[in-house]
Amino acid sequence: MSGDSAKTYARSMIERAKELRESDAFAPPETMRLTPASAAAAKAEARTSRKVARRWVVAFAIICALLAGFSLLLPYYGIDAMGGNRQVYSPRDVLACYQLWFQTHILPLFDPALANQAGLLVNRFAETHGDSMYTLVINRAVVTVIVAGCGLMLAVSGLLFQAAFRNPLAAPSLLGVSDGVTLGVIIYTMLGHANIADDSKLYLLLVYGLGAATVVVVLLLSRLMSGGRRYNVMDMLLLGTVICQLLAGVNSFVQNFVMDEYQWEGFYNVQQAGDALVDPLIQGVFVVIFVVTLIPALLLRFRFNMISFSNEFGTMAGVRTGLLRGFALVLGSAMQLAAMATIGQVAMLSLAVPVLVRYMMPADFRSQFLGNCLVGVAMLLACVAIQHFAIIGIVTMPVGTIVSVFIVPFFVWMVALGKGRW
Amino acid sequence: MAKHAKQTSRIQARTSGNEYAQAEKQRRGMRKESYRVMLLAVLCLTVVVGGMLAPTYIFTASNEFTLSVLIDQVSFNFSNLIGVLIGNSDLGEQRFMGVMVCAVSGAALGMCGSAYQGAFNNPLAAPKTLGVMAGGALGALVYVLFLQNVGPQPPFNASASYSYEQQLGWLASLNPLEWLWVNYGRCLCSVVGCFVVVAFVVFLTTVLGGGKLTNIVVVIFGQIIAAAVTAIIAFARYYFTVDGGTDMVHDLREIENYTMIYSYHFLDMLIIVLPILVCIIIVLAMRRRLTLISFGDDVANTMGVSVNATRYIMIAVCTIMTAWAISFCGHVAYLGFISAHLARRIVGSDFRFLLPASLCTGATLLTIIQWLCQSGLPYTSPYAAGVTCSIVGAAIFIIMVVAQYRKGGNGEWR
Repeated sequence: MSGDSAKTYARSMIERAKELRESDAFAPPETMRLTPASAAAAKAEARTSRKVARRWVVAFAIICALLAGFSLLLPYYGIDAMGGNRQVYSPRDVLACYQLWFQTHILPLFDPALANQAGLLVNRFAETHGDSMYTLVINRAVVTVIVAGCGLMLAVSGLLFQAAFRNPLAAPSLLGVSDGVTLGVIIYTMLGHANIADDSKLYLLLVYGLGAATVVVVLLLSRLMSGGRRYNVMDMLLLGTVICQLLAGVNSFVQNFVMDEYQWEGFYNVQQAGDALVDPLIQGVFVVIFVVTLIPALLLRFRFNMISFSNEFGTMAGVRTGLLRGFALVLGSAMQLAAMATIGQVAMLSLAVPVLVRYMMPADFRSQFLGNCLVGVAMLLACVAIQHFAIIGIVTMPVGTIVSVFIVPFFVWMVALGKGRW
Repeated sequence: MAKHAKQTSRIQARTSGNEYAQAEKQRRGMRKESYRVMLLAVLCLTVVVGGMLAPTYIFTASNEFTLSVLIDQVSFNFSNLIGVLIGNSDLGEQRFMGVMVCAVSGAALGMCGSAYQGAFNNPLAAPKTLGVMAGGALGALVYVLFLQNVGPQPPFNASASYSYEQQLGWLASLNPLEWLWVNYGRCLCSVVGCFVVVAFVVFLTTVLGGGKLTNIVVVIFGQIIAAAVTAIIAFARYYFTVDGGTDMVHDLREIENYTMIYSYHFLDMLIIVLPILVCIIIVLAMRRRLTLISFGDDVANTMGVSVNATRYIMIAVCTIMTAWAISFCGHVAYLGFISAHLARRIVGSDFRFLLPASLCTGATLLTIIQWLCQSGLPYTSPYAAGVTCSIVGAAIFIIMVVAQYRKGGNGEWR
């Protein structure tokens, strides 16, 4: 082989290499390449998704405000909450009530001299507007605030569970909170009470105690099932299902074969928590749990974002996943327990709201958290507003029933909207 | 060269011998599972025959329970059973047919549990996942509210006393369609309700929601629908209680804790058993596909199984089976979940063995539970079959958990 031909060969090889370099043969595929255009497109997409999310947030904030305004300004448009007569108060009178509340509760804080006038003002108001109106309207306002809080807690508890289990099926009721609460209500009824006002301390004790006890039993047994070493998510869900079913069986047996009709009527009243909302003790416990659970959830939101990826990722990012997951479970259960003890059987909300929000918002925990809060509040306020009109004969439909039915068309609509996006 | 070839062939022979031995070993392992299935089948048959012979209401206070009484009752049942088989006695017919119906319903439910768990590849799936139970209750509610007074009414007052012959005579005077409506109206409504709800769930999530049977959406939607229906039924019951509609309350209670107390005749048994048997055969024919799906959708697709079609067929067939069983036999669908898990613990996850095994466990459990409900033991009631299912099922599951713990199990499903 002569040197000449070798040189030509080498030159041709170099040229070939140049050609290849210039051609697209070794270029990464279109999707992987970061050209200025594609980067701009990705940015624009992120911006639009953020814009969409912001639009949803604004929309739901407006809806929440409208619903809250409806509940606050037209408190007895349909019927009063205790199933009494139909009464219609004009918004003007209702505003007068709030003015009176402001005068008797807030102003004296700044000027103690005004405290002496409070009784006088209340009496004068009662002369012009009737005896019961002030109490009813203020109760209703408190109820509205607490209902909003319940919606928020239910939605957040659903979100926490889904983050902890990385499974959209994991509603908090799977750990037995809902059935434990029902068992508590059954015991309360069998002790001879027909409504919560009879003995609200006993009610609180039984409902919170049995709800918490069920969760603890499920957690302990699932630890046993996983060999006592660590929690296995699937084991926990299986055991939760089984124990829920056991409790549901016992509950249904007592309801159908032990109680008579009147006891059952009382049971239903207590279970749907018809008058729990206006009981100051129950309100107080609710507010305490609201603060105690929601503040850690807010502070730890970025860490919950970590555990929603995977164990390895979370550990790499310096988060103790096991501990955090257990904490999420406890927080979520406590939230749902408080909400159910306060406004009754509304557990479906914590399954449905996170699923709905997932269709609308980007998947990071921060947006999801905000969206869940707003949608949960809006949903529950809407159901309470619907309750004004849901009167059949002499019976007002309980919030729990309205929630369960109200969710269905909403869910259908969202599924249709998010075509193929799951 | 020739020597080398000989050596190679010898080595090949040895390795193939090894492979053969391994295959043989594996085959023996398989045989162990089929032995277990056969054992379960024998147990199931024993329990069913025993259920036909065993005396009922023996533990009630009025009965003196001694060995001679027991032997008398068993021999009495035995002669009745023989009479039914020969065809010249209808004394034992109700009992015989009742046990048959229970066994077949239990078998159907157990098999549905396994089939759902396989098709969705999810241990939480159960016959009631897609809202079958809620649909049945909804159908029965519609019947109680609107359809109860439609169709031919008995010429005699229901509250007054009338003889059995009178009733038979009235039934004989009806044309076949009316006869079917009078006898099975509520059950048929319940079946239609089951179909409507499951079809609604599946249609909405697949047609409306992007054309894919993604199991998560389907399952969540099933749960939501079930919760809504349950809430509506509870509210209806509350409304009737407040309103003073005692009959309605009674009927609504019956919806929840339905039948298993009715006496069955030969025709009833045919109506109940035949569709279920056809469905069981279809599911058994698809056992290999289910095994492949349990390795994951991608693997199954690569092996030539069309996963979606299998899921649709499974949903259709299992819905028919479950709807039929719960409409005619009572709301005991929870049994499907438990017997499927029990069978999985016994024979493993190969659907060739799992399906027959769960069939046997389901039939055995439901027969035992029905007998327990009719035994007259304290705190039992023939009305409370569904509740007894929940309690017995939970007990079995917790025993399984403890057994696994003792064995040092690693907590893996299957």
